[in-house]
Amino acid sequence: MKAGAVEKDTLLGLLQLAQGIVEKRSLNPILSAVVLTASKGDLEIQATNMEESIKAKGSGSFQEDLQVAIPLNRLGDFVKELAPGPVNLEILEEGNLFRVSQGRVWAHLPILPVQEFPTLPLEPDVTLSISREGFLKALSRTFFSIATDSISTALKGMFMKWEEGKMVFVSTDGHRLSLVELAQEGLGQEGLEVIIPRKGIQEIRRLLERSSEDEVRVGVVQNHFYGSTEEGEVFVRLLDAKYPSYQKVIPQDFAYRMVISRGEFAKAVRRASLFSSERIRGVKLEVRDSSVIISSLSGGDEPFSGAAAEEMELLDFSGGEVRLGLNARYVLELTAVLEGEEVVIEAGDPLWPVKFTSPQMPDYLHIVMPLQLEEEA
Amino acid sequence: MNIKGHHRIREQLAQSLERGRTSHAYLFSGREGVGKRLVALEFALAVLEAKDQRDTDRVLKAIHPDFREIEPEKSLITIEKIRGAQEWLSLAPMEGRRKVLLVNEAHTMNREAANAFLKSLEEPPSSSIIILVTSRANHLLPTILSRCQILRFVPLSHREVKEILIEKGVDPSQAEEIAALAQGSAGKALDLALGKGRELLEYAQGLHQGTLPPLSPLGQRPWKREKEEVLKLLGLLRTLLKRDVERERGSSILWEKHKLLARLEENLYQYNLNPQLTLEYLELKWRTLE
Repeated sequence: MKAGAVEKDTLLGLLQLAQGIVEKRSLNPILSAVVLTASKGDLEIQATNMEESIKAKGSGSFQEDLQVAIPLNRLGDFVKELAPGPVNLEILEEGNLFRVSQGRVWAHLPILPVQEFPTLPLEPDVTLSISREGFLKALSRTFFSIATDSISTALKGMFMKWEEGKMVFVSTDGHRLSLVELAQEGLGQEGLEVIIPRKGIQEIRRLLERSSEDEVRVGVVQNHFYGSTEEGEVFVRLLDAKYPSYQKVIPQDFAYRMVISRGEFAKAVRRASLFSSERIRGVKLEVRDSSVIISSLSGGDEPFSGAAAEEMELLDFSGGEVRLGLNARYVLELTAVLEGEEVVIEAGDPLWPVKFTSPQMPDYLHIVMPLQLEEEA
Repeated sequence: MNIKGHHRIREQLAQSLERGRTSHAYLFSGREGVGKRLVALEFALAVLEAKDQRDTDRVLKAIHPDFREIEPEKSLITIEKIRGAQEWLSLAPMEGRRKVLLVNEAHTMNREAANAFLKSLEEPPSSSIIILVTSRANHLLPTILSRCQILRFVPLSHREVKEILIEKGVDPSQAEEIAALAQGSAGKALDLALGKGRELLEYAQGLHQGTLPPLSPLGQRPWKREKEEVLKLLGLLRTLLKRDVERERGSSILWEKHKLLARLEENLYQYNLNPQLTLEYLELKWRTLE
């Protein structure tokens, strides 16, 4: 008989981590399992949904090594209802059953064939220690422009490139693009390029957000992106695609440059877009003298349902005429991640990509394709 | 795996893998039951570098994370199945260096599904190999055919089919007879020897040899037959007749019987004939031709 004990809170914490990953319903029963491995007295859990996987460790007291796969939800729900204190775990030899007990309370659970459980990647030999806050910021500044629905596989993920002295993060859905360059020393795998799926980024963010460490570990191993905190390790399967060459869409020449207050701009766009046609939610920007007029855009073929406009002082302006159509949702999602009081908007021809930057964020830029204004059609 | 025949194809696949010159997509085309899927599984194991029994078992049970097998449900592969497979294809391999997608009876993809699938064949993910298996390659879109390396599976030899039957415990003399009727398909032979086809074979042989007891006064056999079974039966009778023709050089009775079979087959395919009535008609008509 193989047996050991672990504190309820430790066990529950581990199981809840697994429950965050495992799908409630899976065609393959082994994927609803958590694999418990006791070795050298510690207890490790593994769980996967084939896209994201998690490993985590807690301390316990086990005299012998053991490894079993147990249906996660039953086990997790039962452990949650136990009292604080040690919980005994053992394999019953007679019935191929797993016994969880505490004092006079016990439950028997079926054991699933652990050999059918996928082999998860090993921790990478080389990991990068990185500022948790900096990495999380880079993720949130690119996450919102990852394509949610695209025929291109590559665009459904975030592109990450390790170059000399910096990590580059890019996301685009074909209408807009975000780019972060995070200065970072000690990149062991220079030239590395990966595409991390949107859902996987969310799991990595969740893991890092729960952590209280200043520095966390990230890396790439066996087709997986890897993130590690004091709590556990998350492995995210990469996308098998080639990222489009995004440098081409970043404009270099501009016909004008305007500087505008970020907070006021967001409010004005939100107000004007209330009157815009449901379909596009567009707003129009026109510069007159030292101010910009932000107005709603309605579809030409729809009945008149109102219009709104407001005038805002520009903080700075240079260049010629400006008549610009923008998707309000794109502007609002962008202004939510920008820092500092000023937004710089630069563009060339009315239909060329528009560049947004913030003087306080020299390592960030955002590109939006403008809407075609009807008069020009 | 114990696979009979197809030595040239298996050799070719093994060599392309060894030289790192595999195609992104293959079409395994050939008659039902000759072992296309088995060869595909053998190739998948090699591509996935299955290193032990655990890997092999997980592939054969289709639970290996880097292997996926899809097949028709109610004779149809729907666009939902194809989309699911494409999601799966978009990810890098989980455990190894490659992934294999096996699509059984690929001709059962409907137009929508086939068009969606074209995208995967046009821009194949670099780490994946797609194997389409079909017994009706002519039902596939030409745009699909042109994007696959086509491997044609010939029927198994009489000896190979016989060996397979004997290995499965069929009596050698019976194996000889059934192998002659199976037209190079081990699947068909096994069905006739050990499966549901056994009863059909006995019936066909009885009718052919004139040893079938007469029909009841109401002209009914006491069992119900599905359309597929009646078609199978007609095919069996045709094979039996063909052997007679080879021996006797076409008597007019054989010719009449042959025409009868052809007509019924045609009608069953084209119109929604009642299979049971068709069968009874066949039996009555057949007896008048004796």
